[in-house]
Amino acid sequence: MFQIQESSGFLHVSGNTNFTYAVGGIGSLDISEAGKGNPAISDDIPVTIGGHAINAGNSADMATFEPFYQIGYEMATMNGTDIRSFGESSIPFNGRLQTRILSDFGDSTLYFPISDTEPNMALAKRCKNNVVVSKADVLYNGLGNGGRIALSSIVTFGLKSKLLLGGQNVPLPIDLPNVSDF
Amino acid sequence: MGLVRRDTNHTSIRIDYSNVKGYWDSVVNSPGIQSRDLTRRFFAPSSADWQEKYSSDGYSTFEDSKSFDISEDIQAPLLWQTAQDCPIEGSTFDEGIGAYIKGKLNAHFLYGFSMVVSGFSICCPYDSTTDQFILVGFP
Repeated sequence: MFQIQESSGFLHVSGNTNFTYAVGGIGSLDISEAGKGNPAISDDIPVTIGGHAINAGNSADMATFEPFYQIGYEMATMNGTDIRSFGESSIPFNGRLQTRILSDFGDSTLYFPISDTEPNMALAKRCKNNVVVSKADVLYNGLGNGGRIALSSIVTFGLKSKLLLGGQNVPLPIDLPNVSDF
Repeated sequence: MGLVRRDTNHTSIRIDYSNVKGYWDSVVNSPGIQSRDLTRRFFAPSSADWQEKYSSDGYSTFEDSKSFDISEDIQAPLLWQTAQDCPIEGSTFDEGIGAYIKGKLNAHFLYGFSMVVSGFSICCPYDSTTDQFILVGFP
């Protein structure tokens, strides 16, 4: 029986993002027509840099490690009376809206496995977000009851590891903990 | 590894992987909390003990380590939608809406990971974990 007796790790992240989110034009907007749901979520494409594969002697047993990051995007259109409702997804739009958000990751360390009971205090040391709303933002009238458009980005950092055991005859790929944060 | 009996209960594998300078000296190559008859390696029964070890004095400095550095310009068109021609004062115009996210990601990250496994015969899955780190935006 293959058993994990102990497993522990951490990620330490620093840096920032400087992203601008924008929507502009005229017409009726309905993200659900893209066939990817509402909210629509971009495909997961992790970017790996570096990494190692370690062999044990002459056998096929090996462990691989891949540090990665991933940027995902989401877009939602909402026109229901309930602010959390994604059911009514068609909204009229006429204008241009743009927001720039600078966010600092701080100097944060996250420990794995995640504790359900103790908050991760190390996450507090980060600068405040800097949100800049463009002065050129404009919404023209004739929008009916209006609606909401949500654009978001999700940045994930992590370490993927994989263990292959069982000798040359039957390698068993085992996914080890994928420690990541976003 | 090929010589290990598949019904063994007494073989363990230890994996340590990190890009933090000093991970070996400060974490791996230090006495464990549980007593064992093996080479000196850090070994602890709970994740709280591991966390304490990771954040202990002399090891909380990440400055000298060679981090995993990311610098990426992003330009992500999220939507481009055009609709039927719109007649306006005798002429027709296209109408359309575009949405995008663009900007820059700068990040540096360091990691450390240690694991002890035992036995070899049957594979069992191990849960991955992802935790939310920061959330930014309008309510």
